[in-house]
Amino acid sequence: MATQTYVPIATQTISGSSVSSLTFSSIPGTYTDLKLTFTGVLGNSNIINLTVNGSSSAIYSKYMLYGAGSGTGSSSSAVSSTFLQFANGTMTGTYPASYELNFLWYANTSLGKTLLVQSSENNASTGQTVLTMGLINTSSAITSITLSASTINVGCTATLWGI
Amino acid sequence: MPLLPGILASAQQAHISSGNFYLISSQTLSSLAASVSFSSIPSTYRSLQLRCQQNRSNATGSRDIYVQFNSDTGTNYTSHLIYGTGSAVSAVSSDAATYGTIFGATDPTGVGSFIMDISDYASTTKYKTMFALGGMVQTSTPTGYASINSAAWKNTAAITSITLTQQNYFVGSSQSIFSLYGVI
Repeated sequence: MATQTYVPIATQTISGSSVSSLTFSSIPGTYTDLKLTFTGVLGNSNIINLTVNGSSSAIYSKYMLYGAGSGTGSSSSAVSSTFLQFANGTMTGTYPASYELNFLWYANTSLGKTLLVQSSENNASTGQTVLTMGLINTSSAITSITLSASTINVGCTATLWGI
Repeated sequence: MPLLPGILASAQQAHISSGNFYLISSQTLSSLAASVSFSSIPSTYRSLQLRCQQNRSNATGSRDIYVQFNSDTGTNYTSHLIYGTGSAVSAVSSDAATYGTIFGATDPTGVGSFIMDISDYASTTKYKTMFALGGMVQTSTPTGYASINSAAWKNTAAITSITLTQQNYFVGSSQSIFSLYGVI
């Protein structure tokens, strides 16, 4: 008998006033993968970054493939980053962004953690759609995830799923 | 678990949502393996999703991942993919191949992953397609890629087995995991 999965672990919706970060903590290690979905309006040109387990050590690497309306591109930051930037910050304040972050085998304790991120930043002229392949080079299980940006506006919603 | 309205899982598979996603089988490799297979796949789902993370240490040469359905080794596969290496974007394709391809870089070690969707896999009236997001990142040197991959299998049979192979083997030592899910 197949096992039903894809379970919502927690949801956060920003209310009252904007914030600069949101964190999912005490993540159980009982799933194979995690998915984090985020939708909402960030501030102008806000870049959204990821850290895990509260770590600002140089453990984050990424390769990005993106389309920007009239062209394509690829960029990277390898080995030495202290956070993982998974989109290029092409927001203009009123248009929503959406991000889907897949954390593969997040609870293993013998290998770095990979993530595949689909990012959509749409606006009138300078949005992008991005695929990011990331590596968090730690053997520790991921037990907390933090997204940070200069401005995460009221109404932004993030949901963490267990798969 | 109740179905939550308005929350969808994938831009490619808009019907995937909480409440209709089932684990069919998961394999964690404990040693080097020439292939990974899922067989006796039930036909009771609308689509399949295969999620993988693998350690590539000890591999050499090309690292493309090859996908075959129902053990078909005929020249029935067509693939198209686009990838970014951090500084450039390229696209490649193949036709009349003996497998579908998920792009792999030509560097020696790293950690890779992919998420592959196979839509309408149980149909007996049309060819099958797969779509995969993937990539790999080196753990010690600045090399890696992100890729978007697609392939068609020119066969109308329902998919009942999936076989993955890779030049120079998958790498195990309890450091590779493959999980197959069904979506209803």
